[in-house]
Amino acid sequence: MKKILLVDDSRTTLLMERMMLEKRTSYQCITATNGLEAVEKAQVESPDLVLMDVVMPQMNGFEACKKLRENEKTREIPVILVTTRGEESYMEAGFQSGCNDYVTKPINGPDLLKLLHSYLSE
Amino acid sequence: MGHFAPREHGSLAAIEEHGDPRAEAARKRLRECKGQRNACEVVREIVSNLLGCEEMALFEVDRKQQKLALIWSFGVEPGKLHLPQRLSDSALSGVLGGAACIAQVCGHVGSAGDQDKASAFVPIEFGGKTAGVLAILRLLPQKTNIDQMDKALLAVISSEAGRPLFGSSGSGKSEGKR
Repeated sequence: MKKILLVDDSRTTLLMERMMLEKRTSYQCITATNGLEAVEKAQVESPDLVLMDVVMPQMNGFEACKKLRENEKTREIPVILVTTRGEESYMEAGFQSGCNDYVTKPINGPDLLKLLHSYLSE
Repeated sequence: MGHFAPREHGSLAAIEEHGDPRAEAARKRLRECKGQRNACEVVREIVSNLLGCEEMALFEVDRKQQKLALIWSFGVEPGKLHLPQRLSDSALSGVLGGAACIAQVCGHVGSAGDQDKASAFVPIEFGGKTAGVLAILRLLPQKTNIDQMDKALLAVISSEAGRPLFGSSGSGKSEGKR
């Protein structure tokens, strides 16, 4: 079973993502509420993909993505950043941090599921 | 945008029954709320993350159902909000209120056109009447319109947010005014 690490400081967003994935996929979901916790959990849990918010306390998504890329154990894990900010400069910063994809909120469920499948299908 | 007729409630219920995870998550979070401040924060999370708008304002409706008082806003200066002088019946009916209120509620100084308008005007039900309204102001640039799924989400806010916002544990002015 594929494992996804969901990262967001909004409990509402985490709940919605978890409901969507558990209802419509067989992926296992684990969660973190900031970038620091995400980096730590990624090292321990070795998820198959990280779906991560950008604006978060303690460590934001860009910094967390860089940390994941610096660590040998987590550098190959696909990271999809999710944010309300859709400006080109912001997306550029996301890709410079090492993310694989960048999606804007509000999340379009079917589009996100397709994207996840494209990374997680065997 | 605009007035949303009551007959459309059936289709909104159908959307919810199909299990829109956004509406389900919003309902669960609102039912867990304790008090007005917590409810305002949860409403902000829902509108910002699940609908796609980071400018909003919440108003309380007076007992005569005629006037509004601002109790909380996010992402917009309270001084830039223009309250309707008098509410029409249509403003408080359906999932979305009257088009006149949508046009009136927010005026960005020095700007013109659609930027001056609220995107939605959501009556908040409590105790069998409209206890408040949530004005959803400018949508995020990537969010171009409010569709049927969004209306199902707003219907959840309309029916579930009243208890924590205006019930006994949540009465009084918001401490979370921003």
